[in-house]
Amino acid sequence: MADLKVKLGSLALANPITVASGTFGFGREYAKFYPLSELGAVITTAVTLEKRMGNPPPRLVETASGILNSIGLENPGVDYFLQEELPHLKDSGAKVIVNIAGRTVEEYAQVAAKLATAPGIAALEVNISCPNVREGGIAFGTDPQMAQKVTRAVRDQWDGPLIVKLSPNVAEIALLAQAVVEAGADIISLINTLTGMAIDPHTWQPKLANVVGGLSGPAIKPVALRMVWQVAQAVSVPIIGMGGIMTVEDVVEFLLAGASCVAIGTGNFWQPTLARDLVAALDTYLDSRDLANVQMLIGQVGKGGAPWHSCV
Amino acid sequence: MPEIGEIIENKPIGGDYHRLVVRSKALMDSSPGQFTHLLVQSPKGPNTWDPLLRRPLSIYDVDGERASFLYKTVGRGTKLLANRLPGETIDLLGPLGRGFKITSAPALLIGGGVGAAPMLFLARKLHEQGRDFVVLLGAKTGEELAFAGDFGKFSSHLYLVTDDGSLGSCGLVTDSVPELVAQFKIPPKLYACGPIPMLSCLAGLAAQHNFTLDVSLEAKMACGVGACLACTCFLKDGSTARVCADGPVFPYEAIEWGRRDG
Ligand SMILES: Cc1cc2nc3c(=O)[nH]c(=O)nc-3n(C[C@H](O)[C@H](O)[C@H](O)COP(=O)(O)OP(=O)(O)OC[C@H]3O[C@@H](n4cnc5c(N)ncnc54)[C@H](O)[C@@H]3O)c2cc1C
Ligand SMILES: Cc1cc2nc3c(=O)[nH]c(=O)nc-3n(C[C@H](O)[C@H](O)[C@H](O)COP(=O)(O)O)c2cc1C
Ligand code: FES
Repeated sequence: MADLKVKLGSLALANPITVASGTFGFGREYAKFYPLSELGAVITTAVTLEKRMGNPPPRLVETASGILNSIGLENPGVDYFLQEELPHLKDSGAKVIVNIAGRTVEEYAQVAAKLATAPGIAALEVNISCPNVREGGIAFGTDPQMAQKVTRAVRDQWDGPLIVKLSPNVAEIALLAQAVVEAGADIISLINTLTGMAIDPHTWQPKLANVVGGLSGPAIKPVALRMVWQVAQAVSVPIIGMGGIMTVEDVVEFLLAGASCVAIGTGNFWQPTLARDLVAALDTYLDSRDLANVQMLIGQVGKGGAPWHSCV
Repeated sequence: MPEIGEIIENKPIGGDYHRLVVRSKALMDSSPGQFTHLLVQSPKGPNTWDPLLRRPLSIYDVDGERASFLYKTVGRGTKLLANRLPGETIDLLGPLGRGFKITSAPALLIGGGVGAAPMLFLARKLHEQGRDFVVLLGAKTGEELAFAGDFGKFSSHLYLVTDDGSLGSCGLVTDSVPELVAQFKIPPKLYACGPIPMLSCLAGLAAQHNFTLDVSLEAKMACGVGACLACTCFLKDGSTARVCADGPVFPYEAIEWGRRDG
């Protein structure tokens, strides 16, 4: 048994495997497959100030080794979340990270203020990047000043670990990372979905009712890995890496690129037990290479050979 | 829990339709109208995640450990599935969703095209319970009703309709419904699955004639278990429902027919 514990600043996790926002609901459904306490943490679907109905269907299209979604942040609102979802999630023994979204800076602040009053939340993850909702999301995530404003507004309301989740739909990811760290982010998570589109060549119609959507899954992994690596070079805060993780090798690659922890998103749809299975697989990976702990992988890309080569 | 089942049979049966029979313990517990979310690729092969998502298929029949599916090859996933061979393993997630609520009323089962799939299992259950029921199946051509013989095991009241009149009567399934309903002594409950235009037409008839009608809907699905909200449909009362977990079967009155285009 290798030591899988990771510390992202003051956020201590039993292992570096979490699940990505929006792919795991509030954990209720997947709790039928395995105890959620086996994960490092559960990151919830985005919670907004008011209930949201989301975008019209169809909201999903499969693409080459990926999916495009335009769910549009459908969620029951922060008050419902606090009353009906947080209790069971806490009872499951999982570390709870709440993903938040808003249409305005004030909305982000109001959601954060409400969540700050509830005990049992390990961290907030600020979604500044959802490409699905016309009124919000995209502007915050693509402009360093707006990203800072949102980060500061949430920082003012929330004393615990603050994660800011970056959008990949920018030219210089490192600039955004530096901006949000300067504004008070303790941890950076990335990547959110890449904005994409699909068209039906027979009907000439866009395949999503919302026309554009967010691309996720193995198709985006190389982009995600590159961005995690660039952000790791640019800032010194811990990173939660995600984007197309399906195997333990993928997990290892993200850790090597500089992530302290990863999130499984679209992979849950392929295999509902994937995230839990990857905890055990990571342990096996480390043991088979005589690595005592997972820390030995973090940020080690290109740094010397792997230890087992030295004895050959 | 996802289960690794074994393929017993996977054969073309005419008109782009295939029958897949698997050995599965988990599916022994299913009820009519529920579905399985399955991986078309072999669990043994190297995975390229293309296609990435599972494919939802209604449970066509369950006989002990033998569960069967009726599917139409329409795209990449179903074509890959059609290449799978007996003896190979298959990754099944199910039974999922909420099926038909069987009531004591006599029943009219309506299947349009591949919408016939959940009706065989329903016919089996109604037959086992000794209930009075009629099956109405429709398709474009007779070739696309090659599976209709499977219903003979459970029902002697089978009506077939084709668009071109090549088998059974000529027309649309919905044309025959009022007439068939009139033949029942006690008003029947209608159970339907098929394309959206057929279902919304039935919903119109049901509203007009005061029929009880359950419909099984389709939607693009990712998780299949209720977590991702990809499959949401809009309800009359202004709320939303997940086709995979709250459905796929809904009482017709619950659905906001105008807002569905999935
Ligand atoms: C609850 C449920 C039960 C189903 N039961 C059956 C069944 O018993 N037998 C059967 O043959 N099919 C059934 N379907 C439809 C089946 O899931 C799709 O035909 C299949 O996923 C298509 O996969 P593909 O890769 O072959 O096609 P794709 O390449 O994904 O698509 C090819 C074409 O099929 C259409 N299509 C794809 N997915 C769906 C879908 N979910 N619903 C409607 N059209 C779709 C696409 O718009 C496209 O035109 C069911 C769907 C649901 C939601
Ligand atoms: C269906 C779906 C819903 C999502 N909803 C959210 C969300 O509410 N908030 C958020 O920050 N990210 C959301 N995401 C993005 C994921 O959390 C993740 O960043 C992205 O999908 C990349 O990881 P993956 O390739 O492993 O899925 C969603 C992704 C998907 C596929
Ligand atoms: S497919 Fe994920 S909620 Fe229905």
